[in-house]
Amino acid sequence: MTAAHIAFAAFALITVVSAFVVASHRSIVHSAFGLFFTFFGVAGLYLTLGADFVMAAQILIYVGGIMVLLLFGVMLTPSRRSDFVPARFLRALTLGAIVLVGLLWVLKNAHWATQELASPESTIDEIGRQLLTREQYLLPFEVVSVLLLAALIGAAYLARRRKIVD
Amino acid sequence: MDGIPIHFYLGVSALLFFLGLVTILARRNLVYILLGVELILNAASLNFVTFSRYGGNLDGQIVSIFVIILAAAEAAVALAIVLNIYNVFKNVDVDTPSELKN
Amino acid sequence: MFQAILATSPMLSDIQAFLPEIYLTVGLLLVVIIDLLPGMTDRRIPALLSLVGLAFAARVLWQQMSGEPRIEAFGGLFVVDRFALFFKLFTTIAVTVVILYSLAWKRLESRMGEYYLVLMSAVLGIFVLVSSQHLLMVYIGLELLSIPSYILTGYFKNQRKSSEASLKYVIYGSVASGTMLYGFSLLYGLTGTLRLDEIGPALAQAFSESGNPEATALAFLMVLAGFGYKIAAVPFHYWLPDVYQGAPIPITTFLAVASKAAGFGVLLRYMYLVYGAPGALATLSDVDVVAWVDKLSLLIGIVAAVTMTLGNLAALRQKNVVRLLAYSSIAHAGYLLMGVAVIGSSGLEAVLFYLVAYLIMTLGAFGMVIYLSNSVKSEEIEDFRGAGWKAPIVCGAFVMCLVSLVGLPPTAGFVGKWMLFRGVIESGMLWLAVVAGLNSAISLYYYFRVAKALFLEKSEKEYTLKRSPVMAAIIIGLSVLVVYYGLRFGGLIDLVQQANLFAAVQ
Repeated sequence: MTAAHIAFAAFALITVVSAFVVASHRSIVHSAFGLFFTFFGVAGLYLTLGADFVMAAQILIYVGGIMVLLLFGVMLTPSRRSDFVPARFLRALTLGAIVLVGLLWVLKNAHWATQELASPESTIDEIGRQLLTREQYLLPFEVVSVLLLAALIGAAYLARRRKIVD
Repeated sequence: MDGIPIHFYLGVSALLFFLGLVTILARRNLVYILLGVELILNAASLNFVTFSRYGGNLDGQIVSIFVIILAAAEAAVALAIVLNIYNVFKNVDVDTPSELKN
Repeated sequence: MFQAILATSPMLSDIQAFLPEIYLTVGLLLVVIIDLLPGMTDRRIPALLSLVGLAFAARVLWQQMSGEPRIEAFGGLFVVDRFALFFKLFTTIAVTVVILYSLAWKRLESRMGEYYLVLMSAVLGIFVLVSSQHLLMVYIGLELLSIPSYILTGYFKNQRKSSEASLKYVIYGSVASGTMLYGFSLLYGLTGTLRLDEIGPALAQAFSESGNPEATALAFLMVLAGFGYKIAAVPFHYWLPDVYQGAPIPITTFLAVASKAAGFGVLLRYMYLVYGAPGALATLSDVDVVAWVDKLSLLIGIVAAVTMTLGNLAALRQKNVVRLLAYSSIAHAGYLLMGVAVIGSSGLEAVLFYLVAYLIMTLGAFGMVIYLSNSVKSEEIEDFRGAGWKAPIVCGAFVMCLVSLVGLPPTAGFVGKWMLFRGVIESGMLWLAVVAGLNSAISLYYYFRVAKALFLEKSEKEYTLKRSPVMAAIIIGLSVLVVYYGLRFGGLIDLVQQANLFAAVQ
């Protein structure tokens, strides 16, 4: 039992338990906060995998950005009752469990392309270089900017209020 | 990573995928469905980073950064559509809008 | 001197390969800027700018068509070959017509700047998608096509059915793309690379070493969820009828033609690079692998058969013409999948040929819906009764497109279907050809019902049909093309053979 094991176990537990809260809680505000902790847990797992930059991006964009967006969504669309129906939840759980068992079985038996590695170093340098190198990830980096422009202008257009006609 | 088998990480990601799927199947509130989609995206992203670490190249980490960016764009548009639905139907239940039928 | 430096720079050749996309981007940025200027209230200006952007892109595409047969740019992430150029030219033509339809469509909003901006970024998404040779580029391309499509579907945000359509699209779309991404992560884990041209051989190697295909099969199924949703193959088709009916009809046209073709483009390239290319699964002589690839082909064949049957049967009882065309578009995805099931040369050529036929006849059909519903303010078939005699030439042209959709001679649809049938029969799937034949017979009934309403039934209410010379000219031109390519298909077959990925290898 090393520190790495403990860190992994803690973050994995946070991730899975809070994701279960997302799926099963009656109140959407609680579920949204559950997701908040899931994002944190996943960020921690990234850290144990030596992906420090991805962890930072996960916290900044997911926790700081997407989460706030989703909370606005929760607040701006108040609904009177919970949509949690135990029977439907159990049905979904059963169906999901079948998928899960199949998935775990496949993941366990597959032959993954892995190799023995030294302990990780910071990846920020290398990621930055690859993102701006022509032969590597320059093109996706540029194309994504158009996507963000279109998505944000489109979202702003759609969210503006307007009179309803049929 | 020190001595932790790759399957542990894959197991966590499989559980995230499963819980995302359950959220989408069990809920009728649109915001919940978006939460479920975020769980699935995180599961895939975790897979990418795991394989990147154990496979010894950085490609997976870069993909997960792009996934985070695209998730932000998708969440913004999806929420705009949900707000619009709320504005039109005064409700965010998946089954309420039913103008389109055979 | 500056020129000399540029000429030696490898960046320059990459930029030249990417030039059509750059023109599109400049076009869409100009739309944003012009839209913000005061006094630019005429809604035709952004449309015009988009058309100019497309024209510049098309010019470069045409030059690339007669240049190098295959250019790899940006480290192989982006590939410009005849196959990609085929789909890009295809999209350019389709979107040009869609923009003309948007101008003719009477029920658009007052604000149109965002509409063309978002439409052009979807076009950029298609361009990136059909050229990508890398999982990340495929994902970004798909999202760059999908996210604008969600926005465009809900563009009439004050109309209930438009909002509902965009909601259904975004929900199904984001779940499908999440699943696909998970499948991509499995592929990456199995092979350690994201490049599609390396994944094929790596998978084949892993397959023959370890012999457990479950993970490969699971990854394939999950990826198929993403592509299957774009082309609306059963069981990923639920969103399609509602989205097609609720979206503005020019956007429905875009989704039915350009977006669907892009889905086929990426599916074909993926199938080719991962399964069919040299060193990939289908080329191995290992008995187990051959049996496995046959199973894959059978699976796609079954999806094709179910898709076309379900689409055609559901189309039978539709009263709304857009919904009818939506189900017919599902059926056509089924026909096209027949060609994908043949993992090989003849199948791919048949798909490309049929896509061209599908482009022409579907544009014609939706054009007619716009033409009529501008006057009738409805898309119900019964409201179209008797319209045939008010505009006999245009409606006759429309009927010609319907004949082609059924797949009867002398139309391009017939030639395309004939190629598809030949492809599946040659690869030993006679049953699939029989199913498709029966389906074509069913489809005759519901297409004929529309033609009958136009010409053989009397309308109950009086209305005058608004003349629209531009729309009429487009529809008549398209129907002439349908017949022309039905009789003189040689040139088109040459084009398709050039775009054949399998042939480029030999």
